[in-house]
Amino acid sequence: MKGINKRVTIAFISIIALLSTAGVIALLELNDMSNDTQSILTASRRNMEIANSMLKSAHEHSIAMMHVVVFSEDNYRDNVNKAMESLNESLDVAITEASNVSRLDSLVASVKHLKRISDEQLEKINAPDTIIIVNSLNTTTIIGETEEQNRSLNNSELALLIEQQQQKQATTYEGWYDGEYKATYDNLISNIEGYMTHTHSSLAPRAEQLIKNTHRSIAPIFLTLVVMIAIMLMFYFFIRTYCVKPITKMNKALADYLVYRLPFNVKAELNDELKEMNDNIEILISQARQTNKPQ
Amino acid sequence: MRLNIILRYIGAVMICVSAFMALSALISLVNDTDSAYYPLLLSSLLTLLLGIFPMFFVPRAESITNKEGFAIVVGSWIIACIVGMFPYLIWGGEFSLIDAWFESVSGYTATGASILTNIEALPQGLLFWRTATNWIGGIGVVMFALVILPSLGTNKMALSSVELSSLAKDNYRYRTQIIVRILLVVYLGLTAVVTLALKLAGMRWFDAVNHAMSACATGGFSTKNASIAFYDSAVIEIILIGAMICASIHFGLIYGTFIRKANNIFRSEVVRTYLSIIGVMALFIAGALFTANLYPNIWESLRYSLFQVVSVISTTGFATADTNLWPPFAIILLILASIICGCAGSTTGGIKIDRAVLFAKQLWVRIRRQQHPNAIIRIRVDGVVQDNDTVNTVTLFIVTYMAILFVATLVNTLFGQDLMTAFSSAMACLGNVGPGFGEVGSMNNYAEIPTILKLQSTVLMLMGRLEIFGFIQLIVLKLWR
Repeated sequence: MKGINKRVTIAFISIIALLSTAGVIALLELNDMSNDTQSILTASRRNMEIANSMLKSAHEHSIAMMHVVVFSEDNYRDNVNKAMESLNESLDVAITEASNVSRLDSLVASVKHLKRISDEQLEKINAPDTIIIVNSLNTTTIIGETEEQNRSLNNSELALLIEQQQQKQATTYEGWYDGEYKATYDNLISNIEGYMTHTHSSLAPRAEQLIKNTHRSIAPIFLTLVVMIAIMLMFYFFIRTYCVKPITKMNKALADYLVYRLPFNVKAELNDELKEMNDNIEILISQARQTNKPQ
Repeated sequence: MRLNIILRYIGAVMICVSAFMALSALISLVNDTDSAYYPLLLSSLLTLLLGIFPMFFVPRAESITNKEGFAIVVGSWIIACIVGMFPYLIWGGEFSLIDAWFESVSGYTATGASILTNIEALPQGLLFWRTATNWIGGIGVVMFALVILPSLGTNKMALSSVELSSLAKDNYRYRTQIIVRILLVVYLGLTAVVTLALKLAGMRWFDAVNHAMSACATGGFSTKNASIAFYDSAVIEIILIGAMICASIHFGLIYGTFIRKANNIFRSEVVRTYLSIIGVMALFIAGALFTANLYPNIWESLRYSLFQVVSVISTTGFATADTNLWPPFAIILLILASIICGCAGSTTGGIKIDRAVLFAKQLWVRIRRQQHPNAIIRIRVDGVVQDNDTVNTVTLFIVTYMAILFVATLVNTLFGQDLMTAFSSAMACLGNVGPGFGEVGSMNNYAEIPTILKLQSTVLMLMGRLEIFGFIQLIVLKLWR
């Protein structure tokens, strides 16, 4: 390979190599972008799942506590325990998957606080202030904390006492549920929301990175396009200067010789196939002249 | 004018530029393949192809005309600035199209003005590329190619004569081919020595290399947001003061000093004047700072005043203090320093002390001729008689410089800038200083200035680097027959 053939081949190979490289780089950046998008979506989905699970457990706990504490339905105690277990499990998962565990401190504290006050209240419910014993003769003995409370009562007094005691109990437990428990519950919900929001806000810089990756995967293509246009213009210019113009010159000189017998006087600039063709034409013309010379 | 020949030689320069991009990409690769790796790699390949393509088709020329030489030099500068944008554009971040152009031009013209609000957010590869543009541009885009690329052959004289000003050639007294070698030897040597010194003073290698390159190019690009103030080290400041002074003195004189020639820095009238101006200004400013109670004692005042004076007069632009807070007297002296600047034949910009000395002597001669109308009084600099053409060119240069400064300030004010910002940004860009005052102060940047003014600033930077007439010739090239 030599001369024009070599130049054109190398030029095209370079262009193809460059286009391929630009394409590979764009693909790599796109791949990065795709991975980043995937991780953002996965993180977001996971975060929603955990938060949802915690909210559900907290809600179930709240309902169960209401049944036990306000409506005195002891059969809901299991539900309370199950809900708390489920809440703790979700919290453990959140801690395991968190990149910065210290950010979950307030959430952990609120769950622990909820558990503590719930357990304390449940224990109080187990140990009432007085025990009422109804004997076989329909008289009752109230066993309380003081001697004064140990006396026999008839049914009407007993009924009144039970009613008063139940009212007192209901008021206290309802008050506790509406007051302390609700405040703790609200705090827990707020912390769960904070956990959800925090993870989303940490997605913001990752989304920014996503924008940068998008830019970096598109910019090479545009820039390569611009450079290719410049190279194509140069290529056009050089092909015209070093191929088209010499051929045109030779063609015209040959035509002038054939028609008008003007001397073929073309100087080749480069040492390539066109110069060879030029030399060959000169040889042909000189041979033709010698052949046509009168003897 | 043969366009194919021009493209070939510009292509040779692009190959040089692409080599530096590849080096920056290597630094990114070593730095855990940071986010600048692919942008730099692709930019290097694009620039290499742009450079090598004409060389496939165009043979070496036996000789080139002055016009072609001129077109090659100016074309190389402009195309170098365009390809210099590529890594910024691909990387993205703070770089819009105009901002990438601004940063690239500021780098190559060794101005050192930046649009970045957070320099430290850039990956190391891109930080090195910024500094590399300073370093290439400091000595001259074409000069670099002249030494490195053998393909430029015997046309070195034609090309170097365009980039090297006539004032600079006076002190070389060597053949052109040797001049080019001297330039590079001094430049490389100075950079190496300063790098080592900064490393010993406590900088990391990466920061030492970058600051050394930037100081020797009198560019001013730092790897830190707070520039040299970040280090708060008197030792580092002293090293950089030495580097900036050396980089702003004629390289031929520095070479002559080392090989003990008569033509050295101690015997040069221009250098003596230059150093005296630095000394006097530093003392006056230190006095003003101390009087204004900005610093606790006179030594601290002198420390900061000397650094800022040298930084500004050498057109480097490094900062150790927010000069916006300095008293007006100090600011005026710094403005004067920004206009006069360093010696011809160095990497510095501005009017140049050689022209200022010649102008002052011309003024004196004029006064003497009024006293003695029939006397023949020659203007001599360093014992060499200056011809009328040189003297007139100097006067014309200074007048043109001031006129351009005035017009640029006017345009800046038209787009809403206050007078201090308008004047100082025009002065800083035309003189290739970098930081000005007001909104573009030593601890600020050019991010907030309007886009149209950023474009104007880039034109001013190129004008300043190409010594004004070189740039004007580009506009009237078609008239050159």
